[in-house]
Amino acid sequence: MPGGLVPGGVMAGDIVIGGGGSIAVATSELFEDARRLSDLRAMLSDCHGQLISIDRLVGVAQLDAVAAPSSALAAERAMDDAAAALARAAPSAERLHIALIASADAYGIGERVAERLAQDVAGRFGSMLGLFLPTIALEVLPAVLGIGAGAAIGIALLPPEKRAALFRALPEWLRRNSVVLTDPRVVQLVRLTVMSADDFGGGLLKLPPELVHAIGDEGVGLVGLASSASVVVGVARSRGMLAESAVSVMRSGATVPVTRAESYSDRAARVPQGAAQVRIDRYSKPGGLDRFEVYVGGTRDFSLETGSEPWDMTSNVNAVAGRETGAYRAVTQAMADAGISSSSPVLFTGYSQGGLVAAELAASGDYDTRGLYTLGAPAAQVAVPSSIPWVALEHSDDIVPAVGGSRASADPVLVRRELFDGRPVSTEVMFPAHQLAGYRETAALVDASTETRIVSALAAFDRFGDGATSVDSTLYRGMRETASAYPAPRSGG
Amino acid sequence: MDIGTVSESGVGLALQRQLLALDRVAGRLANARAVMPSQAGDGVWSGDARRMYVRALHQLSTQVHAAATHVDEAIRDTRQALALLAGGSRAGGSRAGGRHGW
Repeated sequence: MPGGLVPGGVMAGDIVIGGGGSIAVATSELFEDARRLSDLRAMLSDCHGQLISIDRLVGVAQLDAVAAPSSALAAERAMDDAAAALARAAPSAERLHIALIASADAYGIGERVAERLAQDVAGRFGSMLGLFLPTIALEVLPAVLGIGAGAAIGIALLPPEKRAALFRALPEWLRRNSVVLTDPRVVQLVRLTVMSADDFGGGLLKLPPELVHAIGDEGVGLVGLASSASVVVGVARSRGMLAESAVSVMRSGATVPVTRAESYSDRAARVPQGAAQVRIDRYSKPGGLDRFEVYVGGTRDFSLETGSEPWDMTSNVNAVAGRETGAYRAVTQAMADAGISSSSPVLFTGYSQGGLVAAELAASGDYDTRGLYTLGAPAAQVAVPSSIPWVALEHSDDIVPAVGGSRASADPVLVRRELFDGRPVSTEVMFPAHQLAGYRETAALVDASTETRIVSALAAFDRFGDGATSVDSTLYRGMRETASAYPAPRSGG
Repeated sequence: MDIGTVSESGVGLALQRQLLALDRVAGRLANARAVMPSQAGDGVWSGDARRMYVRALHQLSTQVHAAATHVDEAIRDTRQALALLAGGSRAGGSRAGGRHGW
Protein backbone atom coordinates (compact mmCIF):
# COMPACT_ATOMS: atom_id res chain seq x y z
CA MET A 1 0.00 0.00 0.00
CA PRO A 2 2.38 2.78 -1.13
CA GLY A 3 1.87 6.10 0.47
CA GLY A 4 -0.33 4.86 3.26
CA LEU A 5 -0.41 3.15 6.58
CA VAL A 6 0.68 -0.44 6.50
CA PRO A 7 -0.48 -2.14 9.70
CA GLY A 8 -0.18 -5.45 7.88
CA GLY A 9 3.39 -4.72 6.96
CA VAL A 10 4.86 -2.76 9.78
CA MET A 11 8.24 -3.60 11.26
CA ALA A 12 8.62 -6.72 13.34
CA GLY A 13 7.69 -5.82 16.87
CA ASP A 14 5.15 -3.22 15.85
CA ILE A 15 1.72 -3.57 17.33
CA VAL A 16 -1.44 -2.29 15.67
CA ILE A 17 -4.19 -1.03 17.92
CA GLY A 18 -7.88 -0.70 17.10
CA GLY A 19 -11.38 -1.14 18.51
CA GLY A 20 -12.51 -0.30 22.00
CA GLY A 21 -15.25 2.02 20.79
CA SER A 22 -12.99 3.97 18.46
CA ILE A 23 -12.72 3.73 14.70
CA ALA A 24 -9.00 4.57 14.82
CA VAL A 25 -6.64 1.76 13.82
CA ALA A 26 -2.89 2.28 13.62
CA THR A 27 0.45 1.25 14.96
CA SER A 28 1.40 1.97 18.52
CA GLU A 29 4.15 4.23 17.12
CA LEU A 30 1.63 6.34 15.23
CA PHE A 31 -0.51 6.85 18.33
CA GLU A 32 2.64 7.62 20.31
CA ASP A 33 3.72 10.21 17.71
CA ALA A 34 0.22 11.72 17.74
CA ARG A 35 0.33 12.00 21.53
CA ARG A 36 3.78 13.58 21.42
CA LEU A 37 2.68 16.08 18.79
CA SER A 38 -0.34 17.01 20.87
CA ASP A 39 1.87 17.55 23.93
CA LEU A 40 4.35 19.46 21.78
CA ARG A 41 1.65 21.78 20.41
CA ALA A 42 0.48 22.55 23.95
CA MET A 43 4.03 23.26 25.12
CA LEU A 44 4.84 25.46 22.12
CA SER A 45 1.60 27.42 22.53
CA ASP A 46 2.42 27.89 26.21
CA CYS A 47 5.94 29.13 25.36
CA HIS A 48 4.52 31.47 22.74
CA GLY A 49 2.03 32.88 25.26
CA GLN A 50 4.78 33.44 27.84
CA LEU A 51 7.00 35.23 25.33
CA ILE A 52 4.12 37.49 24.27
CA SER A 53 3.45 38.24 27.91
CA ILE A 54 7.11 39.15 28.58
CA ASP A 55 7.34 41.18 25.42
CA ARG A 56 4.17 43.12 26.17
CA LEU A 57 5.35 44.25 29.56
CA VAL A 58 8.90 45.23 28.63
CA GLY A 59 8.53 46.83 25.22
CA VAL A 60 10.99 48.64 22.98
CA ALA A 61 9.27 51.99 23.56
CA GLN A 62 9.66 51.63 27.30
CA LEU A 63 13.31 50.70 26.99
CA ASP A 64 13.85 53.66 24.70
CA ALA A 65 12.20 55.91 27.23
CA VAL A 66 14.68 54.93 29.94
CA ALA A 67 17.68 54.68 27.55
CA ALA A 68 18.24 51.02 28.32
CA PRO A 69 21.37 49.24 26.97
CA SER A 70 21.22 48.17 23.35
CA SER A 71 21.53 44.54 24.44
CA ALA A 72 18.18 44.92 26.17
CA LEU A 73 16.72 45.97 22.85
CA ALA A 74 18.51 43.06 21.15
CA ALA A 75 16.84 40.76 23.66
CA GLU A 76 13.50 42.23 22.67
CA ARG A 77 14.24 41.53 19.01
CA ALA A 78 15.32 37.96 19.81
CA MET A 79 12.12 37.39 21.78
CA ASP A 80 10.09 38.69 18.84
CA ASP A 81 11.91 36.25 16.55
CA ALA A 82 11.35 33.38 18.98
CA ALA A 83 7.66 34.23 19.25
CA ALA A 84 7.38 34.33 15.45
CA ALA A 85 9.06 30.90 15.16
CA LEU A 86 6.74 29.49 17.81
CA ALA A 87 3.72 31.03 16.07
CA ARG A 88 4.65 28.89 13.07
CA ALA A 89 5.69 25.77 14.99
CA ALA A 90 2.63 25.31 17.21
CA PRO A 91 0.14 25.13 14.29
CA SER A 92 2.57 22.85 12.43
CA ALA A 93 2.52 20.42 15.36
CA GLU A 94 -1.27 20.70 15.51
CA ARG A 95 -1.62 19.96 11.79
CA LEU A 96 0.64 16.92 12.03
CA HIS A 97 -1.26 15.65 15.07
CA ILE A 98 -4.58 16.01 13.23
CA ALA A 99 -3.14 14.33 10.13
CA LEU A 100 -2.01 11.30 12.15
CA ILE A 101 -5.34 10.89 13.94
CA ALA A 102 -7.25 11.41 10.68
CA SER A 103 -5.11 8.78 8.97
CA ALA A 104 -5.78 6.30 11.81
CA ASP A 105 -9.52 6.99 11.54
CA ALA A 106 -9.41 6.67 7.76
CA TYR A 107 -7.49 3.43 8.00
CA GLY A 108 -9.92 2.06 10.57
CA ILE A 109 -12.91 2.92 8.38
CA GLY A 110 -11.20 1.53 5.28
CA GLU A 111 -10.26 -1.68 7.04
CA ARG A 112 -13.79 -2.13 8.38
CA VAL A 113 -15.30 -1.57 4.94
CA ALA A 114 -12.77 -3.92 3.33
CA GLU A 115 -13.50 -6.62 5.91
CA ARG A 116 -17.25 -6.33 5.40
CA LEU A 117 -16.81 -6.37 1.64
CA ALA A 118 -14.52 -9.41 1.75
CA GLN A 119 -16.93 -11.24 4.05
CA ASP A 120 -19.86 -10.28 1.82
CA VAL A 121 -18.08 -11.53 -1.31
CA ALA A 122 -16.90 -14.70 0.43
CA GLY A 123 -20.43 -15.34 1.72
CA ARG A 124 -22.01 -14.90 -1.70
CA PHE A 125 -19.31 -17.05 -3.25
CA GLY A 126 -19.91 -19.73 -0.62
CA SER A 127 -23.65 -19.59 -1.22
CA MET A 128 -23.29 -19.89 -5.00
CA LEU A 129 -20.74 -22.67 -4.58
CA GLY A 130 -23.16 -24.58 -2.39
CA LEU A 131 -26.07 -23.90 -4.73
CA PHE A 132 -24.28 -25.01 -7.88
CA LEU A 133 -22.04 -27.60 -6.27
CA PRO A 134 -23.87 -30.57 -7.86
CA THR A 135 -23.59 -29.01 -11.31
CA ILE A 136 -20.01 -27.99 -10.74
CA ALA A 137 -19.27 -31.42 -9.38
CA LEU A 138 -20.72 -33.03 -12.47
CA GLU A 139 -19.12 -30.71 -14.96
CA VAL A 140 -15.87 -29.52 -13.52
CA LEU A 141 -14.78 -31.07 -10.30
CA PRO A 142 -15.54 -34.79 -10.34
CA ALA A 143 -11.95 -35.71 -9.79
CA VAL A 144 -11.37 -33.22 -6.98
CA LEU A 145 -14.60 -34.09 -5.22
CA GLY A 146 -13.99 -37.72 -5.80
CA ILE A 147 -10.66 -37.48 -4.11
CA GLY A 148 -12.10 -35.36 -1.29
CA ALA A 149 -15.13 -37.52 -0.71
CA GLY A 150 -13.06 -40.64 -1.08
CA ALA A 151 -10.62 -39.36 1.51
CA ALA A 152 -13.40 -38.42 3.92
CA ILE A 153 -15.16 -41.75 3.51
CA GLY A 154 -11.85 -43.54 3.69
CA ILE A 155 -11.02 -41.84 6.99
CA ALA A 156 -14.45 -42.64 8.37
CA LEU A 157 -14.16 -46.28 7.34
CA LEU A 158 -10.67 -46.75 8.74
CA PRO A 159 -10.34 -49.03 11.72
CA PRO A 160 -10.17 -46.93 14.93
CA GLU A 161 -6.46 -47.64 15.48
CA LYS A 162 -5.52 -46.57 11.95
CA ARG A 163 -7.73 -43.47 12.20
CA ALA A 164 -6.02 -42.65 15.50
CA ALA A 165 -2.65 -43.08 13.79
CA LEU A 166 -3.77 -40.68 11.06
CA PHE A 167 -4.81 -38.10 13.64
CA ARG A 168 -1.50 -38.60 15.42
CA ALA A 169 0.24 -37.77 12.17
CA LEU A 170 -1.72 -34.53 11.87
CA PRO A 171 0.51 -32.51 14.23
CA GLU A 172 3.56 -33.50 12.17
CA TRP A 173 1.79 -32.36 8.98
CA LEU A 174 0.87 -29.08 10.66
CA ARG A 175 4.46 -28.58 11.80
CA ARG A 176 5.81 -29.25 8.29
CA ASN A 177 3.34 -26.77 6.81
CA SER A 178 3.70 -24.13 9.48
CA VAL A 179 5.25 -21.66 7.02
CA VAL A 180 2.10 -21.67 4.88
CA LEU A 181 -0.25 -21.75 7.85
CA THR A 182 1.54 -18.74 9.34
CA ASP A 183 1.02 -16.57 6.27
CA PRO A 184 -1.35 -13.68 7.20
CA ARG A 185 -3.12 -14.13 3.85
CA VAL A 186 -3.86 -17.76 4.67
CA VAL A 187 -5.03 -16.70 8.11
CA GLN A 188 -7.41 -14.17 6.54
CA LEU A 189 -8.61 -16.79 4.06
CA VAL A 190 -9.37 -19.15 6.94
CA ARG A 191 -11.33 -16.40 8.69
CA LEU A 192 -13.40 -15.72 5.57
CA THR A 193 -13.90 -19.44 4.93
CA VAL A 194 -15.25 -20.18 8.39
CA MET A 195 -17.48 -17.12 8.18
CA SER A 196 -18.94 -18.25 4.84
CA ALA A 197 -19.51 -21.88 5.85
CA ASP A 198 -23.14 -21.07 6.70
CA ASP A 199 -23.62 -19.51 3.25
CA PHE A 200 -22.18 -22.64 1.66
CA GLY A 201 -24.63 -24.75 3.67
CA GLY A 202 -27.52 -22.53 2.65
CA GLY A 203 -26.55 -23.01 -0.98
CA LEU A 204 -26.42 -26.77 -0.53
CA LEU A 205 -29.96 -26.59 0.84
CA LYS A 206 -30.99 -24.71 -2.34
CA LEU A 207 -31.94 -21.61 -0.41
CA PRO A 208 -31.96 -18.44 -2.53
CA PRO A 209 -28.59 -16.64 -2.19
CA GLU A 210 -30.31 -13.41 -1.12
CA LEU A 211 -32.14 -15.22 1.68
CA VAL A 212 -28.94 -16.91 2.82
CA HIS A 213 -27.22 -13.55 2.78
CA ALA A 214 -30.07 -11.91 4.69
CA ILE A 215 -30.20 -14.47 7.51
CA GLY A 216 -26.43 -15.04 7.69
CA ASP A 217 -23.57 -13.19 9.43
CA GLU A 218 -23.69 -10.43 6.84
CA GLY A 219 -27.42 -9.95 7.46
CA VAL A 220 -29.44 -10.36 10.64
CA GLY A 221 -27.18 -13.14 11.94
CA LEU A 222 -29.84 -15.83 12.49
CA VAL A 223 -27.34 -18.37 11.28
CA GLY A 224 -23.60 -18.09 11.21
CA LEU A 225 -20.39 -19.64 12.43
CA ALA A 226 -22.08 -21.22 15.46
CA SER A 227 -24.65 -22.97 13.22
CA SER A 228 -21.91 -24.23 10.92
CA ALA A 229 -19.91 -25.51 13.90
CA SER A 230 -23.06 -27.19 15.23
CA VAL A 231 -23.40 -29.10 11.97
CA VAL A 232 -19.75 -30.17 12.25
CA VAL A 233 -20.35 -31.32 15.84
CA GLY A 234 -23.45 -33.24 14.76
CA VAL A 235 -21.65 -35.02 11.94
CA ALA A 236 -18.58 -35.71 14.08
CA ARG A 237 -20.68 -37.11 16.91
CA SER A 238 -22.24 -39.58 14.49
CA ARG A 239 -18.68 -40.83 13.96
CA GLY A 240 -17.99 -41.00 17.69
CA MET A 241 -15.92 -37.83 17.76
CA LEU A 242 -16.27 -34.45 19.53
CA ALA A 243 -18.58 -35.97 22.14
CA GLU A 244 -18.87 -33.84 25.28
CA SER A 245 -18.70 -35.39 28.74
CA ALA A 246 -18.97 -34.59 32.42
CA VAL A 247 -15.87 -33.15 34.08
CA SER A 248 -14.40 -33.06 37.55
CA VAL A 249 -11.93 -30.59 39.00
CA MET A 250 -9.28 -30.92 41.66
CA ARG A 251 -6.81 -28.55 43.20
CA SER A 252 -3.33 -28.95 41.84
CA GLY A 253 -0.94 -28.25 44.72
CA ALA A 254 -1.28 -25.97 47.69
CA THR A 255 -2.61 -22.43 47.73
CA VAL A 256 0.39 -20.09 47.82
CA PRO A 257 0.82 -16.38 48.51
CA VAL A 258 1.65 -14.28 45.43
CA THR A 259 1.98 -10.64 44.47
CA ARG A 260 -0.81 -8.79 42.68
CA ALA A 261 -0.77 -8.68 38.88
CA GLU A 262 0.32 -5.31 37.58
CA SER A 263 0.76 -5.41 33.81
CA TYR A 264 -0.30 -7.14 30.61
CA SER A 265 2.88 -9.21 30.53
CA ASP A 266 2.54 -10.13 34.21
CA ARG A 267 -0.96 -11.49 33.54
CA ALA A 268 0.21 -13.32 30.41
CA ALA A 269 2.95 -14.94 32.50
CA ARG A 270 0.34 -16.24 34.97
CA VAL A 271 -1.60 -18.25 32.37
CA PRO A 272 -1.06 -21.90 33.39
CA GLN A 273 0.80 -24.13 30.94
CA GLY A 274 1.38 -27.41 32.77
CA ALA A 275 -1.09 -30.07 33.78
CA ALA A 276 -3.27 -27.54 35.58
CA GLN A 277 -5.45 -25.52 33.18
CA VAL A 278 -6.87 -22.94 35.59
CA ARG A 279 -5.27 -20.55 38.04
CA ILE A 280 -7.32 -18.46 40.46
CA ASP A 281 -5.75 -15.60 42.40
CA ARG A 282 -7.75 -14.29 45.33
CA TYR A 283 -7.38 -10.64 46.41
CA SER A 284 -8.41 -10.27 50.04
CA LYS A 285 -9.28 -7.00 51.70
CA PRO A 286 -10.39 -6.71 55.34
CA GLY A 287 -14.08 -5.86 55.48
CA GLY A 288 -14.49 -6.15 51.70
CA LEU A 289 -15.54 -8.74 49.17
CA ASP A 290 -12.79 -11.01 47.95
CA ARG A 291 -11.85 -10.31 44.33
CA PHE A 292 -10.55 -12.89 41.90
CA GLU A 293 -8.35 -13.02 38.85
CA VAL A 294 -9.07 -16.19 36.87
CA TYR A 295 -6.46 -17.41 34.37
CA VAL A 296 -7.46 -20.07 31.84
CA GLY A 297 -4.89 -21.96 29.76
CA GLY A 298 -5.01 -23.12 26.15
CA THR A 299 -5.76 -26.40 24.38
CA ARG A 300 -3.79 -29.35 25.79
CA ASP A 301 -5.01 -32.13 23.47
CA PHE A 302 -5.46 -31.64 19.71
CA SER A 303 -7.01 -35.04 19.10
CA LEU A 304 -10.50 -35.13 17.61
CA GLU A 305 -11.42 -38.06 19.78
CA THR A 306 -12.54 -37.27 23.29
CA GLY A 307 -10.18 -38.45 26.02
CA SER A 308 -9.70 -37.40 29.60
CA GLU A 309 -8.49 -33.87 28.81
CA PRO A 310 -11.27 -31.23 28.77
CA TRP A 311 -8.99 -28.67 27.06
CA ASP A 312 -9.28 -30.55 23.76
CA MET A 313 -10.69 -30.17 20.26
CA THR A 314 -14.07 -31.36 21.52
CA SER A 315 -14.27 -28.31 23.76
CA ASN A 316 -12.87 -26.09 21.00
CA VAL A 317 -15.45 -27.01 18.36
CA ASN A 318 -18.35 -27.21 20.81
CA ALA A 319 -17.42 -23.78 22.16
CA VAL A 320 -17.42 -22.26 18.67
CA ALA A 321 -20.83 -23.94 18.20
CA GLY A 322 -22.06 -22.06 21.28
CA ARG A 323 -22.40 -25.21 23.37
CA GLU A 324 -21.32 -25.64 26.96
CA THR A 325 -17.99 -27.44 26.95
CA GLY A 326 -16.04 -29.56 29.36
CA ALA A 327 -13.47 -26.80 29.72
CA TYR A 328 -16.18 -24.24 30.51
CA ARG A 329 -17.72 -26.46 33.16
CA ALA A 330 -14.30 -27.20 34.64
CA VAL A 331 -13.59 -23.50 35.07
CA THR A 332 -16.98 -22.83 36.68
CA GLN A 333 -16.36 -25.71 39.09
CA ALA A 334 -12.92 -24.35 39.96
CA MET A 335 -14.42 -20.90 40.48
CA ALA A 336 -17.08 -22.33 42.78
CA ASP A 337 -14.38 -24.15 44.76
CA ALA A 338 -12.47 -20.88 45.12
CA GLY A 339 -15.56 -19.26 46.58
CA ILE A 340 -16.48 -17.13 43.57
CA SER A 341 -20.16 -16.26 43.58
CA SER A 342 -22.26 -14.18 41.19
CA SER A 343 -21.44 -11.09 43.26
CA SER A 344 -17.66 -11.62 43.42
CA PRO A 345 -15.74 -9.17 41.25
CA VAL A 346 -13.79 -11.21 38.68
CA LEU A 347 -11.17 -10.40 36.06
CA PHE A 348 -10.65 -13.07 33.40
CA THR A 349 -7.46 -13.75 31.47
CA GLY A 350 -7.34 -16.54 28.91
CA TYR A 351 -5.05 -17.85 26.22
CA SER A 352 -6.28 -19.67 23.09
CA GLN A 353 -9.21 -21.93 24.07
CA GLY A 354 -8.86 -20.47 27.56
CA GLY A 355 -9.53 -17.03 26.08
CA LEU A 356 -12.67 -18.35 24.39
CA VAL A 357 -13.83 -19.85 27.69
CA ALA A 358 -12.98 -16.61 29.51
CA ALA A 359 -14.97 -14.57 26.98
CA GLU A 360 -17.94 -16.90 27.32
CA LEU A 361 -17.79 -16.66 31.10
CA ALA A 362 -17.67 -12.87 30.84
CA ALA A 363 -20.59 -12.86 28.38
CA SER A 364 -22.65 -15.30 30.47
CA GLY A 365 -23.70 -12.63 32.96
CA ASP A 366 -23.26 -15.22 35.73
CA TYR A 367 -20.38 -13.28 37.29
CA ASP A 368 -19.54 -9.71 38.23
CA THR A 369 -16.95 -9.46 35.45
CA ARG A 370 -14.72 -6.38 35.75
CA GLY A 371 -12.40 -7.08 32.84
CA LEU A 372 -11.39 -9.54 30.16
CA TYR A 373 -7.94 -10.07 28.66
CA THR A 374 -7.51 -12.66 25.90
CA LEU A 375 -4.43 -13.83 24.04
CA GLY A 376 -4.80 -15.63 20.70
CA ALA A 377 -8.39 -16.56 21.46
CA PRO A 378 -10.91 -17.60 18.78
CA ALA A 379 -13.49 -15.49 20.60
CA ALA A 380 -14.51 -12.96 17.95
CA GLN A 381 -18.10 -14.17 17.85
CA VAL A 382 -18.68 -14.07 21.62
CA ALA A 383 -21.09 -11.28 22.54
CA VAL A 384 -19.20 -9.77 25.45
CA PRO A 385 -21.08 -6.68 26.71
CA SER A 386 -19.36 -3.39 25.89
CA SER A 387 -19.53 -2.47 29.60
CA ILE A 388 -16.78 -5.03 30.27
CA PRO A 389 -13.30 -3.73 29.39
CA TRP A 390 -11.82 -6.28 26.99
CA VAL A 391 -8.30 -6.25 25.60
CA ALA A 392 -7.63 -8.89 22.94
CA LEU A 393 -4.14 -9.73 21.63
CA GLU A 394 -4.04 -11.45 18.25
CA HIS A 395 -1.12 -12.28 15.99
CA SER A 396 -2.15 -11.61 12.40
CA ASP A 397 -0.16 -14.71 11.37
CA ASP A 398 -1.86 -16.90 13.99
CA ILE A 399 -4.53 -19.13 12.45
CA VAL A 400 -6.25 -19.94 15.76
CA PRO A 401 -8.05 -16.60 16.38
CA ALA A 402 -9.15 -16.69 12.71
CA VAL A 403 -11.00 -19.95 13.36
CA GLY A 404 -13.26 -17.89 15.62
CA GLY A 405 -14.34 -15.84 12.61
CA SER A 406 -14.87 -12.08 12.41
CA ARG A 407 -16.04 -9.88 15.23
CA ALA A 408 -19.78 -9.77 15.70
CA SER A 409 -21.20 -7.43 18.33
CA ALA A 410 -18.26 -7.09 20.70
CA ASP A 411 -15.67 -4.39 20.16
CA PRO A 412 -12.60 -5.16 22.27
CA VAL A 413 -9.46 -3.08 22.27
CA LEU A 414 -7.79 -5.24 19.65
CA VAL A 415 -3.99 -5.36 19.58
CA ARG A 416 -2.55 -7.08 16.52
CA ARG A 417 1.00 -7.99 15.64
CA GLU A 418 2.56 -10.01 12.86
CA LEU A 419 4.89 -12.17 14.92
CA PHE A 420 7.10 -13.48 12.11
CA ASP A 421 6.96 -10.40 9.90
CA GLY A 422 9.81 -11.24 7.50
CA ARG A 423 11.55 -13.52 10.01
CA PRO A 424 11.96 -17.27 9.40
CA VAL A 425 8.97 -19.23 10.66
CA SER A 426 9.77 -22.00 13.12
CA THR A 427 8.80 -25.54 12.12
CA GLU A 428 9.55 -26.89 15.59
CA VAL A 429 6.00 -26.44 16.82
CA MET A 430 2.53 -26.82 15.33
CA PHE A 431 1.30 -23.23 15.29
CA PRO A 432 4.42 -21.13 15.76
CA ALA A 433 2.57 -17.79 15.80
CA HIS A 434 0.16 -19.16 18.39
CA GLN A 435 2.71 -20.05 21.05
CA LEU A 436 2.14 -18.49 24.45
CA ALA A 437 5.78 -17.37 24.52
CA GLY A 438 5.11 -15.18 21.47
CA TYR A 439 2.02 -13.71 23.08
CA ARG A 440 3.98 -12.99 26.25
CA GLU A 441 6.49 -11.11 24.11
CA THR A 442 3.65 -9.16 22.51
CA ALA A 443 2.18 -8.41 25.93
CA ALA A 444 5.48 -6.77 26.89
CA LEU A 445 5.20 -4.53 23.80
CA VAL A 446 1.65 -3.65 24.82
CA ASP A 447 2.93 -2.68 28.27
CA ALA A 448 5.36 -0.28 26.60
CA SER A 449 2.61 1.39 24.58
CA THR A 450 1.25 4.75 25.70
CA GLU A 451 -1.84 4.54 23.51
CA THR A 452 -4.87 5.84 25.42
CA ARG A 453 -7.10 2.75 25.11
CA ILE A 454 -4.28 0.45 26.18
CA VAL A 455 -3.31 2.60 29.14
CA SER A 456 -6.85 3.16 30.42
CA ALA A 457 -7.77 -0.54 30.14
CA LEU A 458 -4.64 -1.51 32.07
CA ALA A 459 -5.42 1.12 34.70
CA ALA A 460 -8.87 -0.47 35.11
CA PHE A 461 -7.29 -3.93 35.39
CA ASP A 462 -4.69 -2.80 37.88
CA ARG A 463 -7.24 -0.92 40.02
CA PHE A 464 -8.83 -4.32 40.53
CA GLY A 465 -6.25 -5.17 43.19
CA ASP A 466 -6.37 -1.82 45.00
CA GLY A 467 -6.65 -2.16 48.74
CA ALA A 468 -5.87 -5.87 48.76
CA THR A 469 -3.82 -6.82 51.81
CA SER A 470 -3.04 -10.31 50.60
CA VAL A 471 -3.16 -12.31 47.38
CA ASP A 472 -3.12 -16.09 47.19
CA SER A 473 -3.09 -18.37 44.20
CA THR A 474 -4.50 -21.84 43.53
CA LEU A 475 -4.07 -24.06 40.48
CA TYR A 476 -6.83 -26.38 39.30
CA ARG A 477 -6.79 -29.42 37.04
CA GLY A 478 -9.93 -30.50 35.20
CA MET A 479 -10.52 -34.04 33.94
CA ARG A 480 -13.23 -35.54 31.79
CA GLU A 481 -15.29 -38.29 33.35
CA THR A 482 -17.47 -40.61 31.32
CA ALA A 483 -19.16 -39.67 28.05
CA SER A 484 -22.48 -38.07 28.77
CA ALA A 485 -25.47 -36.61 27.08
CA TYR A 486 -25.14 -34.16 24.25
CA PRO A 487 -25.25 -30.75 25.92
CA ALA A 488 -27.96 -28.34 24.98
CA PRO A 489 -27.00 -25.09 23.21
CA ARG A 490 -26.44 -22.21 25.60
CA SER A 491 -28.44 -19.10 25.01
CA GLY A 492 -26.35 -16.04 24.24
CA GLY A 493 -23.15 -18.06 23.83
CA MET B 1 3.26 36.01 33.54
CA ASP B 2 3.30 39.32 35.43
CA ILE B 3 6.82 40.64 35.54
CA GLY B 4 5.86 44.21 36.43
CA THR B 5 6.41 47.29 34.30
CA VAL B 6 9.51 49.37 33.72
CA SER B 7 7.97 52.41 35.17
CA GLU B 8 7.03 50.56 38.36
CA SER B 9 10.09 48.55 39.14
CA GLY B 10 12.85 50.02 37.08
CA VAL B 11 14.72 48.64 34.08
CA GLY B 12 17.03 46.43 36.13
CA LEU B 13 14.26 44.77 38.05
CA ALA B 14 12.18 44.29 34.89
CA LEU B 15 15.15 42.73 33.11
CA GLN B 16 15.79 40.44 36.09
CA ARG B 17 12.22 39.21 35.88
CA GLN B 18 12.47 38.93 32.13
CA LEU B 19 15.58 36.77 32.54
CA LEU B 20 13.82 34.46 34.98
CA ALA B 21 10.83 34.19 32.66
CA LEU B 22 13.07 33.51 29.66
CA ASP B 23 14.89 30.81 31.62
CA ARG B 24 11.57 29.12 32.23
CA VAL B 25 10.66 29.39 28.55
CA ALA B 26 14.04 27.91 27.60
CA GLY B 27 13.48 25.00 29.96
CA ARG B 28 10.00 24.45 28.56
CA LEU B 29 11.38 24.51 25.02
CA ALA B 30 14.02 21.97 25.97
CA ASN B 31 11.20 19.73 27.23
CA ALA B 32 9.29 20.36 24.01
CA ARG B 33 12.29 19.31 21.93
CA ALA B 34 12.56 16.15 24.04
CA VAL B 35 8.98 15.12 23.19
CA MET B 36 9.46 15.63 19.44
CA PRO B 37 8.63 12.37 17.62
CA SER B 38 11.51 10.48 16.06
CA GLN B 39 12.27 11.96 12.67
CA ALA B 40 12.72 8.46 11.26
CA GLY B 41 8.94 8.01 11.14
CA ASP B 42 9.37 4.30 11.97
CA GLY B 43 6.19 2.25 12.14
CA VAL B 44 4.04 5.20 11.17
CA TRP B 45 4.01 5.54 7.42
CA SER B 46 5.38 4.00 4.29
CA GLY B 47 6.34 5.24 0.85
CA ASP B 48 5.61 8.84 -0.17
CA ALA B 49 3.51 9.51 2.91
CA ARG B 50 6.46 8.60 5.12
CA ARG B 51 8.76 10.95 3.17
CA MET B 52 6.23 13.78 3.52
CA TYR B 53 5.75 13.05 7.22
CA VAL B 54 9.50 12.98 7.85
CA ARG B 55 9.91 16.25 5.92
CA ALA B 56 7.13 17.89 7.94
CA LEU B 57 8.73 16.66 11.18
CA HIS B 58 12.06 18.07 10.04
CA GLN B 59 10.48 21.46 9.32
CA LEU B 60 8.80 21.43 12.71
CA SER B 61 12.07 20.54 14.37
CA THR B 62 13.79 23.42 12.55
CA GLN B 63 11.12 25.85 13.72
CA VAL B 64 11.39 24.69 17.33
CA HIS B 65 15.18 24.80 17.13
CA ALA B 66 15.01 28.36 15.76
CA ALA B 67 12.69 29.41 18.58
CA ALA B 68 15.05 27.89 21.16
CA THR B 69 18.05 29.64 19.58
CA HIS B 70 16.25 33.00 19.69
CA VAL B 71 15.29 32.48 23.31
CA ASP B 72 18.92 31.65 24.14
CA GLU B 73 19.95 34.88 22.37
CA ALA B 74 17.37 36.83 24.36
CA ILE B 75 18.72 35.33 27.59
CA ARG B 76 22.29 36.19 26.62
CA ASP B 77 21.34 39.75 25.66
CA THR B 78 19.28 40.25 28.79
CA ARG B 79 22.22 39.03 30.90
CA GLN B 80 24.51 41.42 29.05
CA ALA B 81 22.11 44.31 29.61
CA LEU B 82 21.90 43.49 33.30
CA ALA B 83 25.68 43.30 33.53
CA LEU B 84 25.99 46.67 31.89
CA LEU B 85 23.41 48.18 34.19
CA ALA B 86 25.14 46.66 37.20
CA GLY B 87 28.48 48.04 36.03
CA GLY B 88 26.99 51.49 35.64
CA SER B 89 28.42 51.79 32.18
CA ARG B 90 26.63 51.72 28.91
CA ALA B 91 29.68 52.27 26.79
CA GLY B 92 29.99 48.66 25.67
CA GLY B 93 26.31 48.36 25.19
CA SER B 94 25.58 51.56 23.36
CA ARG B 95 23.04 51.26 20.67
CA ALA B 96 25.73 51.92 18.11
CA GLY B 97 27.70 48.97 19.50
CA GLY B 98 24.79 46.61 20.01
CA ARG B 99 25.04 43.08 18.68
CA HIS B 100 22.29 43.74 16.21
CA GLY B 101 24.22 46.71 14.82
CA TRP B 102 21.74 49.35 15.87
